[in-house]
Amino acid sequence: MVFLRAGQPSAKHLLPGGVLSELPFWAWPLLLFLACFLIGVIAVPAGIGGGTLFVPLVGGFFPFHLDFVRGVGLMVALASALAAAPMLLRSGLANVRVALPLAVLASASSIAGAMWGLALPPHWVQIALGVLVMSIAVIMMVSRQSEVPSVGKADRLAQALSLHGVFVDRSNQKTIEWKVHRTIPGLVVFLGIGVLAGMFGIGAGWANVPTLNLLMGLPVKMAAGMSGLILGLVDSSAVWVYINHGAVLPVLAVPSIVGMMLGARAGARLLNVLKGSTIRRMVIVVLIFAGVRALSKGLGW
Amino acid sequence: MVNPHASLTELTQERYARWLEVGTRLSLLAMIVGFALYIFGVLQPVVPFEKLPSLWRLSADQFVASAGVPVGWTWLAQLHRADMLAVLGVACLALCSLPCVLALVPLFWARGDRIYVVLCIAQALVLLVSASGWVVAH
Repeated sequence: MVFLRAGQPSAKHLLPGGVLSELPFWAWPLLLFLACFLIGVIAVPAGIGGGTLFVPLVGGFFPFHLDFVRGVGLMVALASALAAAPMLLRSGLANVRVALPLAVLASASSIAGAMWGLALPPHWVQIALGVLVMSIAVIMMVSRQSEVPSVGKADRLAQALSLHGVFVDRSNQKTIEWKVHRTIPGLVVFLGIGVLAGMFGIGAGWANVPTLNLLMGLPVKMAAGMSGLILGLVDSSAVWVYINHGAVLPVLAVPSIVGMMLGARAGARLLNVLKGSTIRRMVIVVLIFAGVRALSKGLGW
Repeated sequence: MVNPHASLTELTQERYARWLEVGTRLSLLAMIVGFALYIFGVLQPVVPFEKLPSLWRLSADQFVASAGVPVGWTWLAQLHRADMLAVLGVACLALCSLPCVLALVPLFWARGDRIYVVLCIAQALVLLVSASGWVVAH
């Protein structure tokens, strides 16, 4: 294998924290694969996208520049979202009619976000990332989900777009009628979500689900399914900014994507063993840790 | 409540799902095959492995300048290089939503759902503009 042949002379890497480590360079993609597998294992049961953990953790503890980490973060989130979307569409947990108006705006703004992310000084992005990741941890701590929100009357735009329907909850075979309200505020929030997704490469499941569920009134299971469908469209637009910039290193992208997808499969099984709330608490601790690390790196501490 | 769009919804959901399923599988396969050719040294890469550790710490702009990596769509002309083959898989993955969205246009058009025809075309345009590299160049 070329990795092993070419890897005989070890390369020196300045690890975060100033520790000089001598590792053969091929060890980094292997470590990345393992890290992504573990991220995938906990991200799925915790109900967040892998990209949310990937960017702060890999950006903080691996020797790769943040430009590559954010690009790969988007690819990881994209691959997971695209792989899950067909099943979500067929089960009715994701709906094309609801996704399209939100995705058009978020896709357009994600391009702007990705361009700003590449143009800003890396330490600014690290600081903003640290603040954002810790904010996500706080959102996860305080947010409450509403199983089936009460939506009195669909607004005029939702009626014009026919944003209503039914889906069958397979866990209890209940048929649930759903409709959307506060469509315009929802569209505005998705404009902002697109900017954040493109700029930080973290996907946006953490923001999509509460917006769709608590603001727009979709049942929580649909909100989670819709989030994946929208992510597939939004991240497709943002990731092209990184590809066109030459910020794609296959040696980082492929082990990350494969590791995350395998980890996500294992994570889905873990759901039957561990309580979702336990894993969620674990992820909050990891997010705070990763956020502090990103902040300290950005501030040069 | 009876959903007047039920049958159209079923059609659009199924078509989008089917196209996306095929596109995602082919893209992931292309990415893994390209990467296998890359790591087993079947084809020469643009960036040799041993140079990567000194390059992956650079910003994207510095990396492109130092490694001579193609930007925009110029990588298409270098598909005989192993790392560019792996990029092809990534690019396919990033593009596979485009045919799915366009495939919905005839369905919405046939039912007279003009708003969604416009939304599908708008989404396709956003993807195309982003993929074209025009926004990066300007």
